[in-house]
Amino acid sequence: MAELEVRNLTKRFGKTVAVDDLSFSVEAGRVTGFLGPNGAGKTTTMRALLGLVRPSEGEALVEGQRPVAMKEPLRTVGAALEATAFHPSRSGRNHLGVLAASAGIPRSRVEEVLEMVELSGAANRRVKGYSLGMRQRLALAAALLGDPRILILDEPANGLDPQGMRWLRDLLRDQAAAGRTVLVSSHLLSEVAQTAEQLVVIRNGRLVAEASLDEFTTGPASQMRVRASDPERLATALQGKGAGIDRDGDGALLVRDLNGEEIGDLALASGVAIYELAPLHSSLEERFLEVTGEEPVG
Amino acid sequence: MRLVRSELLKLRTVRTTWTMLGIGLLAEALFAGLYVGLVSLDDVGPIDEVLTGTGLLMLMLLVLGVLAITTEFRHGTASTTFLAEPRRYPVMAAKLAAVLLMGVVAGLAYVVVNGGLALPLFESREGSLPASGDIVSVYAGVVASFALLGTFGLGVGAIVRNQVGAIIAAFAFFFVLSSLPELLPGDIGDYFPAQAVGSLHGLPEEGLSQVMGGLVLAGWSLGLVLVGTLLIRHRDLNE
Repeated sequence: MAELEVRNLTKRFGKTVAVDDLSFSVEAGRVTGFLGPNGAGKTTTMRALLGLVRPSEGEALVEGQRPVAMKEPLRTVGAALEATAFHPSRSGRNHLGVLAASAGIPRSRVEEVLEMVELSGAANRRVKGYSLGMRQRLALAAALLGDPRILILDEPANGLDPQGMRWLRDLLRDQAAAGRTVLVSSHLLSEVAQTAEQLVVIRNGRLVAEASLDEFTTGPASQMRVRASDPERLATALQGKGAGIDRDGDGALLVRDLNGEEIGDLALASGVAIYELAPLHSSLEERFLEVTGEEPVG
Repeated sequence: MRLVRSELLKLRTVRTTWTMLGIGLLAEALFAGLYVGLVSLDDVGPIDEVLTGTGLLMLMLLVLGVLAITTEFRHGTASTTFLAEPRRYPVMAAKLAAVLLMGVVAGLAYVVVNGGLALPLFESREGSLPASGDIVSVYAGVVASFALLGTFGLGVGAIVRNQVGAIIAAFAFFFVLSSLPELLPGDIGDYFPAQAVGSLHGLPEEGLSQVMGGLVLAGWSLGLVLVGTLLIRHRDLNE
């Protein structure tokens, strides 16, 4: 059973369809990156998994249950949704204290998580005076408070400095290595690429890819670069087998939809010598733009 | 119980709560001292005398009741709250309990200030103090009204959600609606919230008994909380 499962989830706000028949699942023990351009429906999906938003259709399940049925919510799922959701005149320590009280978590755990996110020094200051990075850390501390089996983090890297980013990556990796489930959203692929093993990519509320990072980068749209003695004859033969052909400036063929073996066999059969045959992996960024059809953001 | 503790902590850990209650109590002390100490006693009844200056604290509790819920939406902390307890009813019940308790505590503080200041001053000026049984029941009415006004605010806040809008709406009930009964036939006006508060305080000019006034105000307050809770149950939390 997947720890998190989204099944045919549709969410409409008035006439706007934020999430459209979306299905995917998230397994324990690895970091899953949840990607998509801004406005793709990531936050709404995460909120549905947390029981904050009611699905119009379909369901969002946590450990096989609807989120409102969770026995000990904070010990099951920890979430950091946005770095601005604090009462500005409450201190960081008290924010966590309020949350701890409602879940019956001991006060000592508040100090522990403050230590973990390196906010102990500023814990008595009112959140009003926190930088974005500090708020982000406080949101993470709140997520970690119940020592949960599942972490759901919405754009947790926003506002973190490079040192903070590294700290976050280590944290996510450690959590996943400890067998926990980690779902991290981002609109920046590069951020997620360094920690995520699994990717869920959505666009306009629909799933466009659910794959491991490796599968994603070497996905079906990747090409083979072929230099041959008679490119035109080879191209005709390849097209006859249904391959898509592009040409680069040097007279080499860029072949889609056939693998190296098939190209080699065809070349032999049509009497063309092959000088060079190399797989071209798209970069992660290219793949992301390819599947989401968007300009990079940020 | 955990949820109630959490809600009480929310009230205690923001400065607004203390500032507003502090100002209310200070104003009460000031009014009681000045008014009872200086003004001619013949113009009003003894109970009105004793209750001098209660109005500001009543407003403070009304507003604090509103804030107990609207700040959660304004600052987006509602999401966090409902992460710890995704079921909406228990959270609203805990807010209700916390606001009631805050009203009782503020009411007791009021009794200490008023009893320690207004009563002796009143007596020293040889005013005819109401019977001590009456004073106790007036004070009990004040404590109950504070708790119920906070509840009233909570209900309006849960329905309106927008902070400024909710405060205006709550005030409208007491300032705009309170002048309406004069235009209405019969004693319908006795059942308006502002008039019910008066009855609950034992003011002789109001039409209902103290207990009846309390029940009417409780009906308004709990009714609003109930409506607000039903609305919140189906609301998506997107902020």
